[in-house]
Amino acid sequence: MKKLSYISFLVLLLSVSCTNDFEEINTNPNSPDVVTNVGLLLPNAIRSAVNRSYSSAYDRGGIVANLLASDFASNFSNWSRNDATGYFLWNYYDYIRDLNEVIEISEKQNLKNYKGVALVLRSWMFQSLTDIYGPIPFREAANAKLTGISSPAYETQEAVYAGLLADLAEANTLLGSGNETVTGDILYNGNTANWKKLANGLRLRLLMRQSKRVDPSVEMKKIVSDPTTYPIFTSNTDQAALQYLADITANESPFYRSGNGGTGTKVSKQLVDYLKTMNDKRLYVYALPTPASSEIDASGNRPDPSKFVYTGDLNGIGMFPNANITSPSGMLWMSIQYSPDLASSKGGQGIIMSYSEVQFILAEAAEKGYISGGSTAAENYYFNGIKDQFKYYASRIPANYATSYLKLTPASISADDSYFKQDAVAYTGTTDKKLEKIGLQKWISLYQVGFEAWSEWRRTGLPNIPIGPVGPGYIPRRMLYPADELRINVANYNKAVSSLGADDLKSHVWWDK
Amino acid sequence: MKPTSAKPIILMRYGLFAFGTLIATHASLLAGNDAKILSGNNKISDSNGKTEVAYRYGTLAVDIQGKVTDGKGQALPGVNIVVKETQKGTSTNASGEFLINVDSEKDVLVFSFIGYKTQSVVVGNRKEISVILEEDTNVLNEVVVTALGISREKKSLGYSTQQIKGDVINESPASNFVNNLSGKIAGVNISGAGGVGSSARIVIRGESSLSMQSQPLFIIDGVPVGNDGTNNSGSADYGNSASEINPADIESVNVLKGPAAAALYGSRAARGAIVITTKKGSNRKGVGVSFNSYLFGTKVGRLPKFQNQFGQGSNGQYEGSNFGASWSAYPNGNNDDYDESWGPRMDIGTMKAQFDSPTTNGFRGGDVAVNNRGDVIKTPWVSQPDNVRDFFTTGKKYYNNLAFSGGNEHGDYRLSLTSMNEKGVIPNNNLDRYQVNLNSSYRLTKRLTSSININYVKQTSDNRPDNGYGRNTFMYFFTWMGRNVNMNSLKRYWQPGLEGIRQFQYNYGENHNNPFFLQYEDTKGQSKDRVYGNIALEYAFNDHLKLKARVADDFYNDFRPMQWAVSSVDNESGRYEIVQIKNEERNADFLLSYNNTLRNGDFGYNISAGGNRFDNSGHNENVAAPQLLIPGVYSISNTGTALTGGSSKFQKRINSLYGTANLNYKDYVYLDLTARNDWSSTLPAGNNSYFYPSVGLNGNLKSIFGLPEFISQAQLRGSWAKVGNDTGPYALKNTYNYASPWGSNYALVGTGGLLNPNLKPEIISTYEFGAAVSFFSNRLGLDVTYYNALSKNQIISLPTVQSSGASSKQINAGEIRNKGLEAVLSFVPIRTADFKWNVTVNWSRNVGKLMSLTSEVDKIVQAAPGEDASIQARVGQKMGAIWGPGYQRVTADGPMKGQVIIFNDAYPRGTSEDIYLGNYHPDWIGGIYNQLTYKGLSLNFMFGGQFGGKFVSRFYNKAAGAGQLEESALGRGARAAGTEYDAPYYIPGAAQMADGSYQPNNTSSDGTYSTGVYGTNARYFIKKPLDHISEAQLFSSTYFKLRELSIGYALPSKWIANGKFIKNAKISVTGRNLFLITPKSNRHFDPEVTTSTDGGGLIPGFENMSTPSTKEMGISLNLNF
Repeated sequence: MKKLSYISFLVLLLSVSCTNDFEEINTNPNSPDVVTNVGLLLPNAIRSAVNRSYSSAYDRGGIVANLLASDFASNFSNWSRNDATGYFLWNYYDYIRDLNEVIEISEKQNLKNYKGVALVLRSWMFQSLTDIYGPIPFREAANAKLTGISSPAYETQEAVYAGLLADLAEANTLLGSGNETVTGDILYNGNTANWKKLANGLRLRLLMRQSKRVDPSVEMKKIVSDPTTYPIFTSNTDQAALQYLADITANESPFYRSGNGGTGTKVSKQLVDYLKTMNDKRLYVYALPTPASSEIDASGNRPDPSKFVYTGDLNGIGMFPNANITSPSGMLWMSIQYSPDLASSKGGQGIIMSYSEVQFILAEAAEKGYISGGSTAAENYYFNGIKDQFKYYASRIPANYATSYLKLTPASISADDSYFKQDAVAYTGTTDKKLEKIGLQKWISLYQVGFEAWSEWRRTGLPNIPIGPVGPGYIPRRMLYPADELRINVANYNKAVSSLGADDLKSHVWWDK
Repeated sequence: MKPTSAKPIILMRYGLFAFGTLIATHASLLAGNDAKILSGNNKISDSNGKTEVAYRYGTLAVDIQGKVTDGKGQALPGVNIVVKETQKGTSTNASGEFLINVDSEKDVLVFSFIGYKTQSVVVGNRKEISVILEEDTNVLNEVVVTALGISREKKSLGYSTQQIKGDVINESPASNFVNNLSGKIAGVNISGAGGVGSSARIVIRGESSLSMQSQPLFIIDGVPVGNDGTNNSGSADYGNSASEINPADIESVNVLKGPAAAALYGSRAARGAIVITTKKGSNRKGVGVSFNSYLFGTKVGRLPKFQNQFGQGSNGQYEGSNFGASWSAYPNGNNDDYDESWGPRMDIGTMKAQFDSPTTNGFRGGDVAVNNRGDVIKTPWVSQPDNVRDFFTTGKKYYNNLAFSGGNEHGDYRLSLTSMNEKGVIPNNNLDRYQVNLNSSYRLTKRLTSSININYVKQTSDNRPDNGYGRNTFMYFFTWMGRNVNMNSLKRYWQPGLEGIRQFQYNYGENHNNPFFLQYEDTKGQSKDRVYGNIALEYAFNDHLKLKARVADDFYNDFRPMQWAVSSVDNESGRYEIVQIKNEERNADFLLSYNNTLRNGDFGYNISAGGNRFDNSGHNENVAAPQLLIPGVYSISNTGTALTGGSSKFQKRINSLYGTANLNYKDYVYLDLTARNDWSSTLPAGNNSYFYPSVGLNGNLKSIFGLPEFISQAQLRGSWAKVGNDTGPYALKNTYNYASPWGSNYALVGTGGLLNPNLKPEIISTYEFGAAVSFFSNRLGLDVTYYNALSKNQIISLPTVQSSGASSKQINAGEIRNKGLEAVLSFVPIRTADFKWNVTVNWSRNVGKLMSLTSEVDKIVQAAPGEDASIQARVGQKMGAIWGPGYQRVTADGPMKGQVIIFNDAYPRGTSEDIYLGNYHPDWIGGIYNQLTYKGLSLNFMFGGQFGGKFVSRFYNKAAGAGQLEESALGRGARAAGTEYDAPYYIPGAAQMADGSYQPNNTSSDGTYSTGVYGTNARYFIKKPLDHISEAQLFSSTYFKLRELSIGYALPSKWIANGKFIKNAKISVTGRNLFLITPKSNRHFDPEVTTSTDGGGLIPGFENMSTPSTKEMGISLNLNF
């Protein structure tokens, strides 16, 4: 027995001495578990979210809005249910997770500017998500590490919109009130005034979008009447557009190396026809000449740009007849595979919200009487929006385009009086006609801006998008939830679906009714 | 390329230098003791020895020392030696040596060792007795090495093990050792991905882990060697670490199948252990030399079957011009940007401008980056039936082993030098491996023995095999490559004048790499140095009590330079990346053991207690020049942009204490008890200590009941065991990852996997029953085992919804029950003096079932390496289930019920919910091994196969949809030339009419599919029924193959000077994988290599651009001097 107790003592001793350095051994030496410099969490969240918005505009948002055409995507076969990873914008929740941490840490450290920036970014992502899906995980979302909630509840779009408007109002108050300089801000380089403008721009976007359900007048008037408290964009120079870098692959414009050689996705016939009819020079930015009209002849020369033909393709017709006789999207969005010389790693910007969009919102608001000024003010906003578009795209033309076969210079992208005075553009006609013109210009301006053009079409029906013969026979009004939500978050999913009606492509979201 | 002849010299330099020091150290140990022991040997026994003995025992007893060897001069460890009619006994040590005390010259020593005939020796006046034991033909009476290196008679074990002798493995050494075990062991399933030295996945008794990590532990002479699932850098497979074990150094391999067998090896052996014993030196006169040389030729095995009627293009149209290079100065041709084979019919006398057609300026059509290429001159549009096969070459493998062995009564050594030089069937895929093994033991004093076993491995490769779905693999390329493409035309893979800058291709539009360019320019090299081995000291306090202490180490440095030439797809500006991996595993252990017998040797007992400290640490660094400044120069300094890179290090420790007791009554009953406690650094304080016991019982019915003579053996066994398991390091607390910077804005990002600070150890408990019976002097034997294993508290990453901000969370959950049956039948149909025929049949069947998961979910996706299908574990269902979208079928009653619905867009659709498609586990696996010898002539052959099981093929899906595979000629092949693409095609199925009723969609019956309800074009006719419908991509895994065949001839001694110089010589002809039979439905693939290497590990059940398997033929020469 003596021996046995000795052994058990030995085992006890060993078990203590065996494990006393375990905590040190099992501490991860490779990466930190605490972040104090909260700005480190911003660059990736901004870049990733903007990239995702940019990419899905190209193969989904732009196609369903009939700005782009694709034989592959226009029957919406790529809208079928999939797991969340890589599924439309659902990845935003990953970036919202990091922003939630920014907010949490900022609150602890009393960093008002950081919190404001994170609230604006997060609101933009939630807005994009709810516009696509309807009810979404909102207040409980993307917080598993902080709260332990791994099956977040869905909230109605109405609740989400109300929450976002409150968050943006809070952000407007917070921004600029902190003492700290915001680092890691790859969108505005720490300029909190610009973030305030984006916050108010997004509020206007949300207010207009829900205007069929909630009267936006009071809130809109409050914003517009007090530009000191509620500043908004003044031109494309302070709009929310991410300027890509050429330093490393991760910071290049998403299509630069994407391998899209211009054969799969084309510019839509509807867009090209509008631009051609109006003699709108944005055509030369939005589209490339057809390969057939611009190809090198036997003597090695390209034809003169005056011989170039621009033709859009029809969505929803199955296979494209001939890739050579339709226009790919413009060089700013084209890949190195299509043209190693002209493709630009930083030509296209990742636009979250443009000055023009704000102006078009205000135009519509004035025309509808949500804000004061009536039709006269509306006309002013309307022309501001259009004119800034030309200025913006002129400024995007890389210098080497002048000597390329495109012979494109900033001066090529201009609009003179005759443009503005033609019937299709001039701010004339009935109220409906005017609203239609605002809608059309807004639609054109939302080229490559996430899913915004589609959301606007759902809200206003502008422009009239034709339904192709090959496909489901309708234009989708929302997207299916990701497959893993049905599989894993089933109780919350079921609740969301019952408030929505059905989890299909036809159901209308709350503001679209 | 370097001349290979220089390599052996480099080897000698490296190897001998590295070992010079070690050998010298060991030799000086020998030399230093020489004076005392070697020269004064007899004196010690005569004078000192006696004195010492007399002091100890106080009698006139004498110590007898000696050594036991087998017929080949190999030392036999663990031989039982008893003094007849006394209680005295001992056993030989690792070098076969023993020391025993006798009272009288008349005493008789009885040497017994199962597998060998028992021998009795009268002591006489000798002080030293060396014995050669003769092998017993009794097959089932083997001795096996079990946990902690304890040799045991197999018939005394309460659990199932299966042993293979080294010479069986050595008949045709594979470049991955694990593949040599294929089909030889019941209950062991091996799958791989193809390519020289690529990884192999080995699973014993079925999948017991939800994380798909069911790999057993490899133990070489007591030293654990991990064999983690994968060892990838990028998409290149660098082979898992067990692949480097050298077959020539193996004495035997013993597979401990369940946790009962492995209870003493701890967590890592929870899913079985493969215990390898290496060859030892021998006590013999002079130096023994053996030389084994092998030369193999390798050919690619089964390739997918391609159609040879239609070439590249779209809608029947094709004419080359710039071959899809829209950036080129040359105009577009008619559909020349299409890579797939939906083009015009070939072999009907038409001419086309093709990528390899000459131009008016003497270039090739595809030289589209050349300024003055000129006009393309049309060439005949003909099929290239063997173009894929033409890519492959004849592989060669040279394998040479030279071993020296020797020794005397004090020590022995074996030095083995091995070279393996293999060139694969894939161009520029090679592996050179040089190995030195030194195995030596020495008796420092009568009671203290030291031993050393050191291996050095140098492994280099110019290019390791790539796997998976992506532009880096040639099989990916073959899914698209036009059927008109002449492979030989792609061999000059640069455009003239643009060497190093612009690759040459048949099609530029779809961004493929020229496969030769890929193999020769985008290489994934390797240079790896590895040393493993152990040093041990054993002290015998007396005949019964021993203490052994040992330190074992396994460390390697793996350098992997990876390059991408300028114009590589996805790396247009080239890229150079180096990966440096260092890993070290150290085990320090001790074992105190006491054995004795009671009551005249009727009761035997052996009690051991020991401890082990396991330390695993490592680090890896990678750095890349993402764009080359100067093309063709592969240096990190040669970068055109900011360098990228990363590093990580890890550390893990497990402390263990354990004990075991083996008790027996005569040879009637054997009882084994074990207990072990582990403390793992990877688990949280409070949960990091876990205890697990085992018990095993074996009854020898033959002895107990004195069964009739025709029954040679009859035993029953049973055991129960529990084994705990920990997890990887740093699995408790979340950290942030580094994101790539934005200019000078450096960045962090949160991690998706939510870690758990409260993890508990996993527990696997198993019980098994078995019986071994044999009849007619062991000419017929059967060994059957039933097992039942329950794996609980698994540490799993439970997928969570992305909207929670976490992609998964670590939890303890899940119960998996595996049940199975294993049988080994041995049969000796003929046994005469000259002619002997042995047959061994292995058969096994395993069924694993998920009993429970968590309250939150009832299923978990274990792996999804393909497109849509995944391996899912669902509660109440079998493990290994493949789920994915199936066809939407008619559910309404009627004649069309069950048929695939064709919707009004003319296509079928996949179900939105996954359906059950099949299980990747076979119903059973088996192998038949035949050994025939007639005098000096021997014939060995082994058949193996599996029945049942399914896999999903991505190659099939893509290549059929791209118009490449035979199936894609359906319909268009039956139409008249020139009209193939005119009229629509009607996919067979139930056309859904506007009123919801159904009609047959295809009404034609002449094979043209040209009439019906909803028609589509030729391409979608084939592609749409496959795309994203996993059900359509499913194949049976059933196969039957001739794994090995060898014919050997041992030269008669009169031919080799009567054995004076050469003791024996044998020449053999060997083949591996000579033929393969699969069901008719699978004409394309060898199911054995349908394992995906995408993502985290080797995933069975998914063909994902798998490198085809190979067949080998070779000759070998074995000489012993």
